[in-house]
Amino acid sequence: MSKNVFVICEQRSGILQPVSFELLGEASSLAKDLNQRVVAVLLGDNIASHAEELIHYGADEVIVVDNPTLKEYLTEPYAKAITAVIKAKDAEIVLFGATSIGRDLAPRISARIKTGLTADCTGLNIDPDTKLLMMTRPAFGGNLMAVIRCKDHRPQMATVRPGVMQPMEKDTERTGSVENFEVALSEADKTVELLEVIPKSKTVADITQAKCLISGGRGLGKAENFKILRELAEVLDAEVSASRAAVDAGWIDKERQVGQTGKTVRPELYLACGISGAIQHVAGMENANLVIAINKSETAPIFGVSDLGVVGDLHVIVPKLREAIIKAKSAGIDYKAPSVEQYVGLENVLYHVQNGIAYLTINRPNQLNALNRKTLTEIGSVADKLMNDESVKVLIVRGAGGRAFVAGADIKEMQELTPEEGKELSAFAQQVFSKLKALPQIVIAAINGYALGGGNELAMACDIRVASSRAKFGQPEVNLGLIPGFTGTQRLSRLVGDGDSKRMIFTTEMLSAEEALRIGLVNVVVPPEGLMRTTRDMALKIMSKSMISVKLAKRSINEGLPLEFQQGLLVENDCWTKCFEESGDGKEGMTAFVEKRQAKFS
Amino acid sequence: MKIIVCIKQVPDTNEVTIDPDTNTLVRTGIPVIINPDDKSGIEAALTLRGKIPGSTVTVVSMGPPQAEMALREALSMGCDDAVLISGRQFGGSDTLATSTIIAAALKKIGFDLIFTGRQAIDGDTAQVGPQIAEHLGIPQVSYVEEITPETDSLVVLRQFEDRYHRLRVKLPCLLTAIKDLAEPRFMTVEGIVDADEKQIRIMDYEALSDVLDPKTIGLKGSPTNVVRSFTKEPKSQGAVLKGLTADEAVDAIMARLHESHLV
Repeated sequence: MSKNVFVICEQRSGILQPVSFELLGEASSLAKDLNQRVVAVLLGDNIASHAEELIHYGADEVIVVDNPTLKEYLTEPYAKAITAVIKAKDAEIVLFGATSIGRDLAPRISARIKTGLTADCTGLNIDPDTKLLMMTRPAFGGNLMAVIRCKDHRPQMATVRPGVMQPMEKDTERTGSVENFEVALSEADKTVELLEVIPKSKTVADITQAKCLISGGRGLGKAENFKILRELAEVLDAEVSASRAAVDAGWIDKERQVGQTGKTVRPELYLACGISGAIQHVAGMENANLVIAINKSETAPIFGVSDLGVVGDLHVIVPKLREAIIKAKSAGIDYKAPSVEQYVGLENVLYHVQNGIAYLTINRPNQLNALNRKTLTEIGSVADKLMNDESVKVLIVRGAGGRAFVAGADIKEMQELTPEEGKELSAFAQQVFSKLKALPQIVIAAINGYALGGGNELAMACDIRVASSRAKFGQPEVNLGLIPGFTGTQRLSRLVGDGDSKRMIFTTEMLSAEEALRIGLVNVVVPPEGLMRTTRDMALKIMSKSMISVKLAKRSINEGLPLEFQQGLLVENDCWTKCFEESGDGKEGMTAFVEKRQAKFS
Repeated sequence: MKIIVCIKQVPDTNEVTIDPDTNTLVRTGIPVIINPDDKSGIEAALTLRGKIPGSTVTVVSMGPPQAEMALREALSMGCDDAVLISGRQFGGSDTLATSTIIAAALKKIGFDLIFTGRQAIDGDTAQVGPQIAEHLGIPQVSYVEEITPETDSLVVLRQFEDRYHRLRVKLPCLLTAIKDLAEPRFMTVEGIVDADEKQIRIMDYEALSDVLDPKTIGLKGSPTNVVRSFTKEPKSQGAVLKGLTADEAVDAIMARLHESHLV
């Protein structure tokens, strides 16, 4: 039976390409869902020394095909060697980078093996029921996303867009096996004759790796005007990129093109200058953390995907922006601050605020964000801070890395606890999670992967749960001789009822996102790539309403839930009354309704 | 030299729009064009024909009967003849099944050199070219930017992200063309008149049935299938500031950069 997730690693001139690490990170999560192993396939000449690094980035096994014929990429020797590996090892899944090498090689191999191949994927996951690889890719120039599977043929093969998947943190402690795989290759396998390798003249920076991008489009008017972007990039420690229009006009190198036919980028900052924002362009940059657009036309579609849009003349604004940055820097403030706000004493969680939405990210991706005491303490201190922070309306709780929301409590830390210490830990965690539930802000969990044990309990401590279709839910405590003790037995039974909570806790079976949705454990399920957007859109929708009313409604539900119905109605009556008080929004809301205008809520 | 150019008729994806009410692709009224990379292939083939006496250029497309339009356009650009591979049995083919059908047709038509575009703008897969080459057992060179003919071989420049390869490849072979290979010529009036007089040869399932295994074509012969499709959720919009002085605009941008700790 075919098994394991194979990654065809790409090296050029003996240097492993970033896409190889991205694929290993993605393969690790797929392999975990299949309970199989990640096998890295490394081809080249004198290349074996890199095997160790592939293990550090997630490979369980490395198959090395070391042969002088493989020194420089040529279709046939590579196709022959990889076909031999795939057949000998009976691979279940094979992933290639969708680079100019992978897109030449993978179709050749698919036709040789007679199996399916899905091109240029931007999302991969395992269907929980069929265990098939579900491959998501853009089509129609990014206008449409298609989910594709390869049901009966093996291996299931895909090329994956560089810059889309997340590599794992490098872990030099990771171990794995290395196998030297012999393939009989000779000069005769070279069906084309390599006459010359010509490096591209300019050393072009890799825009997919840049933290900040200053991007120019048709609005720049001419090639010389890229100078102001380059000068701005210099002071911001950024790279310059461009839209297809600027590249086609010959103003800048194709290697710097962002978009469907260029590169996919996701920098911290994408500053779009004179870029209209065609859908093909947006497909390449929409995952940027902060998008700021400057355009003279207020109807430019780029504004639709920007966090901040400025209608104005970039030729004036950009040089002035550069001056302002230089001035700010020379003011003696340390502007080398990290892109994510870190409060003093917070190490295991990240916290930052954007547009009135706070993001709490559990940040121990190498431990699948497991909750130890320190992490719980830090969640508690963020909750304390938020209790009195009126500027924040919504809190989004999420897990770092691509695999887990929170995969449980830190078992190692609990192993040696005495009964007294155990009691204290549970009481502490209960108190932290209760604090989260009682926040005046609306708390939404964005669940990207495993929400197990304490992770599921953390998710339940939020008001609303949005899950990626690849998320998994479970309460595995009885496997360890424990029971859920961070509010789980009480909250789960109240949330999904007696039978389903007991089924989850007694059998410890993991639930797929779909099933969690069915029993009411989560409220929305979306494709993995839509998780943060959906969550943020939900937050923004809530924030567009009367926040006073939303908060009162939250209070009424929260306080009424544990009470008898009649007592609950008293709570509701009390909260309702507050809407009519001076501090309430009821008057303005209803007046605006009658006057047929937009309400201005306080 | 018998030169083949494989082309695809595609919707102009620059013109594709999403219906804001239903959030689905608007499929009607979109102009159809010859895929741009394929058009570079046509131009390169015509240029080569000019350099090598006795050469012909045959343009081949697989698709519905309407794809004849694309073939007529290619003939009007100066191609010698055209073949339309079309049949109900071919519908629903994925890239592997498509390449199997086209390869079977090309065996019947005969070839010394085959051009395909690097990729089509509707699917962006870039798979059918290399798959045809594999089925035919001939070498391929993808992402070709320059071609110099020799006696029984070609010297080509192959583009990568970070480098070029100059390669010598013996005929027969398959090349996938990128936009940089050649700037396509326009149709001429004479060309259009000539094209009108040319017959387009149709190859249907019957014509290929002796070389095609029905289990390898169409929906049933395709290893991959689309489970579902969806339009992407639009990213929510932030504030758009207008009517600001340049200094105010700079202040607004600086505030956001500060907020995100980028300065």
